[in-house]
Amino acid sequence: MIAERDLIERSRSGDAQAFSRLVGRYEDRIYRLAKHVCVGLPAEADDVYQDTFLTAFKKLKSFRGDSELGTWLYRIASNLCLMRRRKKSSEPFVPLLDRPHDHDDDAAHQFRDWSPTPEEAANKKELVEKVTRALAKLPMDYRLVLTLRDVEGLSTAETAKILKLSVAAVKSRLHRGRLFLRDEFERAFGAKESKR
Amino acid sequence: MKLERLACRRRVALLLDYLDRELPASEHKLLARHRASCRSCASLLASLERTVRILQALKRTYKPPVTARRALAAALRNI
Repeated sequence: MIAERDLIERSRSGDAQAFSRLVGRYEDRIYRLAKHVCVGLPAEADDVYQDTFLTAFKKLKSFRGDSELGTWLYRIASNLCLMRRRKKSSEPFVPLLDRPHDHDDDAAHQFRDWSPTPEEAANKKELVEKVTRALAKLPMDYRLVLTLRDVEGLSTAETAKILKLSVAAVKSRLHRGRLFLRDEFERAFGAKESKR
Repeated sequence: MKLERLACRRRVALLLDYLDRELPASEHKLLARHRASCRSCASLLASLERTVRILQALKRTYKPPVTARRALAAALRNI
């Protein structure tokens, strides 16, 4: 396998074939990010996927290599998602996110095991649709953090670097987003027991 | 550290850091011990672990469609 550094060097001098090999290594994760963050019209995800690599090819000379290529590509894709959001008129309003500290309920609750049933797990398409619907209820800032951190499996520090946020800001969005999704998944996959 | 004395906001933040293994080893151990003895914290953590597991499962979904890949290849050829 050709070393990534060599492919980057060849791509910098305009070798589209070398760049295509880089695309092959990163396209799944960039498409996934676009798909989960730009939920809604499928064309949005396709456009972000294409624009990410076209932008990267054009700007590869400015890639200094002080971060991983994957991190740099995630940053381009995230910025493209955010630029598309600015063109949209509205974002979902989620009241819970304005009251992040009101978790006394959590201490009083016992949460039933609402893992997807074997039937739901087997019917993966339906499961993905339910999760995607829940994600779509969150503002894009939260979807970006949750996708990079929990779906893509990056660290909090890497997520902060990509989104140019502080670690504290990433944690805050991650925590609120997870709490919100937990409630959404509970509704989708099971019911919460009544308060004791 | 007495977890029960912490304000709810701080406690939830600590539990989430515990979940992400982002606490120093000594605090992680304390939280693990607390989890073993506190039903409500154990329940909250279990529900959040399930949430994260479901999100992690999304990693196995979606690949760029052939049409998008072809369009990208064509656009790269034209640069």
